[in-house]
Amino acid sequence: MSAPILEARGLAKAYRDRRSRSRPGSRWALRGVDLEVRAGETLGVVGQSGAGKSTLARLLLALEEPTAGEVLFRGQAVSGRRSPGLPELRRRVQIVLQDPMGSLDPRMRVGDIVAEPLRALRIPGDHRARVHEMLEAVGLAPGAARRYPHQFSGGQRQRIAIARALAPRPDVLVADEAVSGLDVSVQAQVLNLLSGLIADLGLTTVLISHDLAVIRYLCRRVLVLYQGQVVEAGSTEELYTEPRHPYTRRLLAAVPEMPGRP
Amino acid sequence: MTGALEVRSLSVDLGGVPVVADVSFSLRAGERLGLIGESGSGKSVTALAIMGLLPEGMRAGGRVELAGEDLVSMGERRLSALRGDRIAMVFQEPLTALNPLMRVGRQVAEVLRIHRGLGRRGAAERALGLLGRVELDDPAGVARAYPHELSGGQRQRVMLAMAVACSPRVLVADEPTTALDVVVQDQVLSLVQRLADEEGSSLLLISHDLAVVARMCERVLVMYGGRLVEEGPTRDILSQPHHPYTAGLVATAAAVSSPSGARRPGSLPALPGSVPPLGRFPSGCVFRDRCWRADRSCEAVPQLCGRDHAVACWHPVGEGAG
Repeated sequence: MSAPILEARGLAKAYRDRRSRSRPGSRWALRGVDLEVRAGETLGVVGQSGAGKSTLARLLLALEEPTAGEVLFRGQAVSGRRSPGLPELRRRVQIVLQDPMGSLDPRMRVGDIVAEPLRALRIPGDHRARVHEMLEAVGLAPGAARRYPHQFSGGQRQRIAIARALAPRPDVLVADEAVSGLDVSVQAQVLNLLSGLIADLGLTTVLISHDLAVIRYLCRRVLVLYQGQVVEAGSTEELYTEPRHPYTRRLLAAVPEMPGRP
Repeated sequence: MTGALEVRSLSVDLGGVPVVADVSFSLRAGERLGLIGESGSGKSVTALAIMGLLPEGMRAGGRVELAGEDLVSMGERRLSALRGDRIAMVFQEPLTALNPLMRVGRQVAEVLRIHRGLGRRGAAERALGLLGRVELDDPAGVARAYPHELSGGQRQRVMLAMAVACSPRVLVADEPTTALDVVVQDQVLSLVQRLADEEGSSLLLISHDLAVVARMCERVLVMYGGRLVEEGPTRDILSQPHHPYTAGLVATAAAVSSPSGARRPGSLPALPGSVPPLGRFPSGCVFRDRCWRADRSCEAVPQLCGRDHAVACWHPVGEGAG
């Protein structure tokens, strides 16, 4: 088996608790999380809001420093500002967030948005050509480059966010609720696009979502996060058909089911 | 027999642009009816039109009959008396529907003071009882709290307590669990079902989620482009959808929730295109620009046809098969 491309060891994160004055101290968003993602693998992280999913995403991208534990990219530590692995991580790991309206600068043209990581990471080459290539890959017309985010529908904006994430040719894509909040028919289009790109580009993917159906559709392996801890991990099909942890069982039982066709 | 709510040729327009067109259905007594549609389909506007709560600039036409009275042509005074009493609504985001400056207990009590003429003490006591009935752990604590101090699930329970305070004939719930986690959603849906049963209220449940409606409703209406395109028993609609739009939605929802074993990348059945913005729906059949079965005949508006399971389509799917 190949070495993990992205790895977390004993990852923990505490935030100062501002909500409670009577109990000053820390609120642990994440406690002792271990995970490994191997090249080409699609790992799902599922959990309810407050489970620590987005904290995990920020730590995996080294956007925040863990309180304890570490993140390794290709075996090199990336947690901490002077970590040797950090420059490589910045280029090789990209993220797509839920609300593209909140993550796309409304004053920038789509072409500049998609080219931004290429400029920021000082990636040599013809940026314009790369932008057009990416827009085509996500199913947008070349003319989209000259327009602004608000001129697109929610599904199209998510395509723009995907184009931007994939422009610097990352090895790993972290998708944090990337298809949540979209209408059913649009969600299916974006899922098709994502699964196609993951397969074509051989992307390693960490898909973070509260939506068990989306995780099941895209991921072969899944972690269940509950109150900042991994309570169950395993192959998606096993976990969905024979959940072991009571929380996983409760989670699965809560999903309203589509009745099967006769 | 007339239903609890009779909607007849309801239309809503915004500066001459139709948002809802020619919507007719009846909500039977004690029934749980689902209204399915994607964003931009006009389902929330339909709910607001029924409640007489349309935003400024939107005008309703047609009739909405509640116990023989037409809500559309009714004056605001009479409407205010009925709203919260005989017909009540629960919204998707309770934080915007609750008064942020008033303690929760008082807001629930206010409903009873206005509609039942209860005094301060009596209303406060009844409010506490209602907060207990919606399965809040600490009713007294919640009653003293402000809305922002509660979780999303707790706020939605408070909204439900207010909605059922006067045992309404009709309860309209617009995406009541969309902002909630799946575990909390499960609890709130069970609660809605139990309360509607206990109060004898008919439920109109609006949702984009087919699975939620499948769980809750005996009958379902499918809306697209401001029109009803299909109507029938939930089981029939999900197993044998006749409208190409419904068929697309059902196929997608079923495929996403099926085991991943057999899937190939990009193989999810998906409707082409997206819901057009307001005023950009095609003339004739509103779905024809996205429909793979459309031809010249679809330039005319199809009427909702059929008795139990009705469809508004010139070329329904599975014609003759069932």
